[in-house]
Amino acid sequence: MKGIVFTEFLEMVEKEFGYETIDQILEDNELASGGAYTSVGTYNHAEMIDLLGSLSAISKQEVSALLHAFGRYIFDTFLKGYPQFFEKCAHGFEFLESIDGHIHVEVKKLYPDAMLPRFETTINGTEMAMNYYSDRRFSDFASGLIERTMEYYGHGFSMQKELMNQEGSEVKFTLKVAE
Amino acid sequence: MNEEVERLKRRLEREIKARKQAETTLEVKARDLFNANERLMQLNNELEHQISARTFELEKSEIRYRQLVENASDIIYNISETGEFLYMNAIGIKAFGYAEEEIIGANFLTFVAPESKEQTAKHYAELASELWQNDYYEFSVLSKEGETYWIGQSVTLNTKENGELFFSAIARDISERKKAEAKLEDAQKALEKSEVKYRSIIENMDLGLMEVDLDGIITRVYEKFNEMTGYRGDELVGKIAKDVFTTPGYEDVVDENIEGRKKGEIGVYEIKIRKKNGEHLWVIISGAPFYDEKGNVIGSIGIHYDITERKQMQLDLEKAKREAEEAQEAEQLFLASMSHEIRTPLNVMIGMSHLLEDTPLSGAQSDFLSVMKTASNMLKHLISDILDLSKIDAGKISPTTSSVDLVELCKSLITTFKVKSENHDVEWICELDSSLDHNYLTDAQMLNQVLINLLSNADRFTKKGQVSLKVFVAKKSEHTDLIRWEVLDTGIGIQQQDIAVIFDRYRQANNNISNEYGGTGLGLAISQKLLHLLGGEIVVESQLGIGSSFQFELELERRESTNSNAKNAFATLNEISGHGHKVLVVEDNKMNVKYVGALLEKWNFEFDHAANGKVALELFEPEKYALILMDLQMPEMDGFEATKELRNLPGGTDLPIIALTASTFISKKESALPLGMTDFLCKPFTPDQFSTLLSKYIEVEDQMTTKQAVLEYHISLDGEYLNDAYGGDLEHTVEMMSLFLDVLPDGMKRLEESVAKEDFKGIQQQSHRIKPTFTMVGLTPLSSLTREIGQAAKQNDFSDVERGFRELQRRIEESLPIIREEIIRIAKELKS
Repeated sequence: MKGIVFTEFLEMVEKEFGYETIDQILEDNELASGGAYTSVGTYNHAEMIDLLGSLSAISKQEVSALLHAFGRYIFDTFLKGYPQFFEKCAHGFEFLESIDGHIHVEVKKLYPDAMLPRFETTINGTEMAMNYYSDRRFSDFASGLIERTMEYYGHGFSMQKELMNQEGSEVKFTLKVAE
Repeated sequence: MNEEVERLKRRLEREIKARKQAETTLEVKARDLFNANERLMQLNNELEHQISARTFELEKSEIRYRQLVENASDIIYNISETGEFLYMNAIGIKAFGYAEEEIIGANFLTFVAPESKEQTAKHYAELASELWQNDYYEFSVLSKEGETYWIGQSVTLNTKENGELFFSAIARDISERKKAEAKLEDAQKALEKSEVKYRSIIENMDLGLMEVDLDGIITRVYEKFNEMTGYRGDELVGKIAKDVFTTPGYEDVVDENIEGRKKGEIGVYEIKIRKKNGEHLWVIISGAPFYDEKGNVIGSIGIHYDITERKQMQLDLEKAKREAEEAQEAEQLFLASMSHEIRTPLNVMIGMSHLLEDTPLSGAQSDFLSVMKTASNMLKHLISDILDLSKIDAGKISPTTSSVDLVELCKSLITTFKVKSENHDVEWICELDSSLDHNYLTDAQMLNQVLINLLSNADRFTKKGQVSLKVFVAKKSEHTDLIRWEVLDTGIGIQQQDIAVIFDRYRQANNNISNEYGGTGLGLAISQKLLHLLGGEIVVESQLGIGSSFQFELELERRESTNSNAKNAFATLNEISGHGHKVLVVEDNKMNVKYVGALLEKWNFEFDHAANGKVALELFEPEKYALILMDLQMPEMDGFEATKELRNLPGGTDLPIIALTASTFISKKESALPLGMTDFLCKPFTPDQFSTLLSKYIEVEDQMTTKQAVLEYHISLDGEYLNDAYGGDLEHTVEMMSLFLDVLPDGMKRLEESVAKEDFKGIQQQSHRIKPTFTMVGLTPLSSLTREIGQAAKQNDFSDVERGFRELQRRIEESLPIIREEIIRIAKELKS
């Protein structure tokens, strides 16, 4: 998992809970990396699961809620770092549609070893179906990002999430915008 | 607090670790980047290297192409999108005589010839509106000199690096090809024109054309043929031509031609065909096969020409010709049967006028008689010439060849003319080629007649000088000799423009000729025709006032001569034996008696001699004589009267009585008949002539022809005659010459007495008597002189008589010693 996910996660934890919590979740787990993360590095995905588990215990929040919040948080990082992707699109559907075919392609150019989820989108008027496929099963992280995207484009909208399998590696989001 | 410090300590450691981690990562990334950069640079170098190599290759190939373009035999150039020349290779610049700066930048239409300009501009304008890559077009251009060249140009549309369009073109001078094409076109046009022309000629020529295939089935008919036959085309096509048209009797001709056509033969034939309405049509058909492209005969075309009218005309003409021929035949038959009827009374008239001459006549009567004789002689010649000519024209005469001694024939002709000619200032010459030592196969009678005609003409038109007969061998071949005769005279000559007409019948050089010189105008026409029959042609050369030359050549087959090599040393003699026959010689001239008597003795005849007619009548008894030789002019009773009496005696009616005459008027047996004579013998005669005549009327034994030695006589004597007359019988010759010396003084004395008395009648008689004696000893010129004296006497011209007589005396005095010498010489030879 790319270093930026860890550094952004720890930044959010520090903002919400203070460095004490960071120190606590890093100390709680036997981390191969020793808890020293840099955005240019690549780290084991299991370390993130461990950190999420420790944070959930400390904060008394569900891991899914934490991931959802992290999705919302990282959107602003992306918006700040890569505004050109957002400027190109006028509608949230349009942007979401471009993730799989455009943004992830660009990401792969910079980080060929990055493991990215795959999306399939179908737009039907005001309704959009977006299927998520990833062995990391971070659909909650994706739902935070989607929600924040729709808010960013200023749409009044509703979102439904539907697990397509038990593991959660395949999830269907259904978005509806107002007329 | 401590916990806080610990936490910060851990945070710092984490931060430091993360920084180092990031530095390491960045270092690795930087190294990777450097390596990637290095690889890129290397790739870049390689690419640059490749590019420069490619560029070099490209430049090289461009140079190559440029050289190729510059040296190409084709004209290569580039033109801008708007038609201006951007580039042109050297050959293109040279080709039309313009300078390079005149071409580059100029619009290509500038150089297009005016007649091509519009079309060419239009062509490329149309092209511009289409999608195209390649185009080929031909047009003519003008050279700087103003000459027109045809070029064919192939244009490709190209794009420059900067996206501009331009055209590249390859052009070639195709003037030669265009010229050839134009020529071909002209030729084709000419061909078409001539085809049209000939077709229209044929269509307008009243020629009916029909085509048939190999089975004779009609495949095509032309309009004219339909008009000709009355059929429509669709009635004929598909039918068998032979069945439709052939009329009975012509099937074979048609079949023959059909077969011939299959073999590729062309044929023209004339047949009668059947029209649709059943009428008959005569046509000439010219048939020719025609071929497919492989050269096989696939049928034939027949060109029919209607000759019905012509055929009718031909039939009419044939009929007319047949009628004309029948009429001509009848005419010839009439002429031939009339011949005898006309000639008999004519001969009587001539004979009677001759007899009248021997009766006492006044001067005027004598003149009238002379005119009468001339006129009747002329009439006789005319009639006989006309008859000859009609016989020749009718083809009734054809050469009868036999072995002929040309030397003998020619010599005797000249001898005859020497005697007959009345022109005494003319010398008669006979020149014979020594190589004429053979006999030749020809018709002696025809040849003789031709030569007589030519010599008669020469005689008639020559008053002075010479007439020569020259005969020589012009060319010798294996079996034949080409012999050339020439009759040359020094007469009046013929104008050039008249030479062409003198061979026409009834034509003389001019109308006055007949009046002045006589003649019928048929002689040369007859001669030419006879000579044509013999295979020759008379050619004339003449100069007015100088003389004429008539020549002809005959290619004659040689025959072994009976007297070939001995000609110069021997004379021939036909020996006969008259044993058991008796002849009566009625003659007052002693020399003649001697001459005739000697020959008769030699041939074993018995004979009696009577000095005149009266004695002859006394001697005559039936059956006593086989033949009588009758001189005409004798004292007491002449030959005419004696003959008349004899014919009335028993046994005298059918007895052969032969007239001996010095007169030349009797030239044919027919002319002797009215006088009661059976035949005639002209004095002087040769032993041969005598023996031939005797054999005609008495059955004598023919003996072998013997050869006798020929004697060389004195140059002033006629040796030819002497050899002919005595045939080398030297004893006989001596006897005759001695007799001449005996009788001459008496004869001369009588003549002299008559001259002294100016007795013209007497002079005529005496000169007539004495005349033959000179000939018999070879003094031929004296014989002629004597005759002249007689003629002068007849004209009552005493001065001429006197002059002639004195000349005669003088010549006799000269000649007598010669005769005497010859007698002595021959007598000596006899002894040896």
